[in-house]
Amino acid sequence: MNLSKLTLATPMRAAVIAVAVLATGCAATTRTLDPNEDTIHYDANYDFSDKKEIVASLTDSLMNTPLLNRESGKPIIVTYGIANETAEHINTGGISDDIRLSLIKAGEYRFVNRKQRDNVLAEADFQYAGFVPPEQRIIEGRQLGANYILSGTLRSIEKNQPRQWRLNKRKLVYYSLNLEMTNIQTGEVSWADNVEIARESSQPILGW
Amino acid sequence: MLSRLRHRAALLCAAIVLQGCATNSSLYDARNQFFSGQPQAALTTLETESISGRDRLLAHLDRGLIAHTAGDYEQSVLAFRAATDMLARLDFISVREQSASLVTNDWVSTYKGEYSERLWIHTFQMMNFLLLNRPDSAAVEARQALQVLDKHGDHLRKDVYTRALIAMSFEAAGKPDSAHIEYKKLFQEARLNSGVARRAWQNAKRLGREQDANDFKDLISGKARVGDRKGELVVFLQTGSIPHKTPGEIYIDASTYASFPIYPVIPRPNIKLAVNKDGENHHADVLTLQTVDVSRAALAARGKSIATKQILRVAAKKGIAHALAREDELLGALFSVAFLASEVADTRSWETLPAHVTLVQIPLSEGNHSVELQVREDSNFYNVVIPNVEIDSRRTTYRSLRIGSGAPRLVNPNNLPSASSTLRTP
Repeated sequence: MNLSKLTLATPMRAAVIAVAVLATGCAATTRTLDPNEDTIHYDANYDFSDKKEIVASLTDSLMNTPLLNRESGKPIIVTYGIANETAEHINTGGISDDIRLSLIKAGEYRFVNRKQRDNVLAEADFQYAGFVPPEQRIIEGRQLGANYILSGTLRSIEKNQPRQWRLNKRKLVYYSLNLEMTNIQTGEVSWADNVEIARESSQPILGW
Repeated sequence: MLSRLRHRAALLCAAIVLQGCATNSSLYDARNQFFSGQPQAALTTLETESISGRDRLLAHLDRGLIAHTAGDYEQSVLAFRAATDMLARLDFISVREQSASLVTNDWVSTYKGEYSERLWIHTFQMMNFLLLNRPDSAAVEARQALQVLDKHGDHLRKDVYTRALIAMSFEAAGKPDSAHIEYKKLFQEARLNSGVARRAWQNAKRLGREQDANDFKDLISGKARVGDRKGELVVFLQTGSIPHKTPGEIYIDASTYASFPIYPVIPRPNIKLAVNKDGENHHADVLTLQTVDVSRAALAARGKSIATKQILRVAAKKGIAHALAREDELLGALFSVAFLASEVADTRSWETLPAHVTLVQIPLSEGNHSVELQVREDSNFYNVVIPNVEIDSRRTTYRSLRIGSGAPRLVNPNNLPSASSTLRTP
């Protein structure tokens, strides 16, 4: 065996292996996650798995409630959105849309589309402006009248660990979503429920 | 062998001396473009030119402020959100950067912003969202601003402008209870006795807090006692430019000194404001903040940690130079000079900020108005006409504008359609 060749080749090989290891570590990767699986939370803040948990819990509660009047058929609901009272920019429209979707799929409730009301009126005006043959026009005065308003509030309380000697910073975030159904005729809150999520995250104080 | 070592040592010394201790050139160019009246060119520079990670936060802050001043509030929101995200990612102590800064200076560290600058990200976001008619998002920023105030409130107490904006954001989002708490803090903690008294009084009345309403009413200036407002124009008026940090120096001996950032003491300009509506003099409630007062307090809050680090740095540099001098006198001397030359205060700051921020609240009746602001700043006189102000009694109308000496030459920001501004020196 040629010793001089070996000593020259060894650092070269080591360098190649080191570059290969580093290159593997630096490669960009993408993988698809199953939204139904348990999700790892990168921090204590609100994320999509929280939305799923909130929607599932409140939809179940609404489906099983005996408190809403069903004598004259399926209750008709109009959603007035969920107020965001947290310190995060959370799109609460996603929560109310998903709850509505679940309830429509279950077939227990009917919904009127408040967001499309102006468009519906504009379309009706267009049809009666002479562009559409009379037999194809919608019949006015046939819109559904809602029985209940669905509304809610998302709140959060954040607590940070007090300043002291430590290696990690801990943060505790508590989210609470209250959802309620108001009877439009009586003004009574006919149903209400809430979901609570509390999470603690820890972040090292020192890093590279 | 020794000469090769000296050669390498000389290169290392040069590296220590030459490592970045000046504002990033792209940032410098963008700021010059902004102040010379080319906000779009400044925004392009900040988006396309490479800016080192160390100064990235400043680029986000400048981009947010320049977009706001140019009336592009959506872009301003995105830039400030990027700044907030970056601050969250930087919320740790980097061992690598701290070690490097011990033998050089703080310019090698990533800029994380003074406490005041972290607060003002939310201040500008509140203004952006109110101007965009998104009061719920303004309230979210108000809550984030409160988190900064909770953490560093002792040093940021002077910032009455942000506290007033927090209260206004809660009011706009339909949270009069939260607004009331902030108005009370303004009067109890900041000893503020005018400016937003009328708002606070009306809000307390709406809530049925008669005792508090009476307390606030006593503080309203005479002209403002005109009953409930029918409608309102709020102008976020920004004047001038904040003074830049300068290096302060302490000599320990002939060959050792420590350099640290300070805000210079500048004469307080005399600012007077008059409002004309439809050609006639009109009452306005005004609240003004000199931004450097808060910046100085925030910098002073870091004083102990800056001083501790200076002592450690001086000791580390001295120790290394002495150790090297024992091996090679010339090498030791070389490093002593390099260490001395690298002792430069980190004077980075958010330099595009205005010198003053003023909340001008003008009660107006419903309809279309032309409002004229006459601003006297020392010997300069600025006349700004805001035409076509549409007042709706159900909500407040907002405008933002920046004028004054040292301010960028922006006469027609997008948010002020056909607004005109003239400068006269008497």
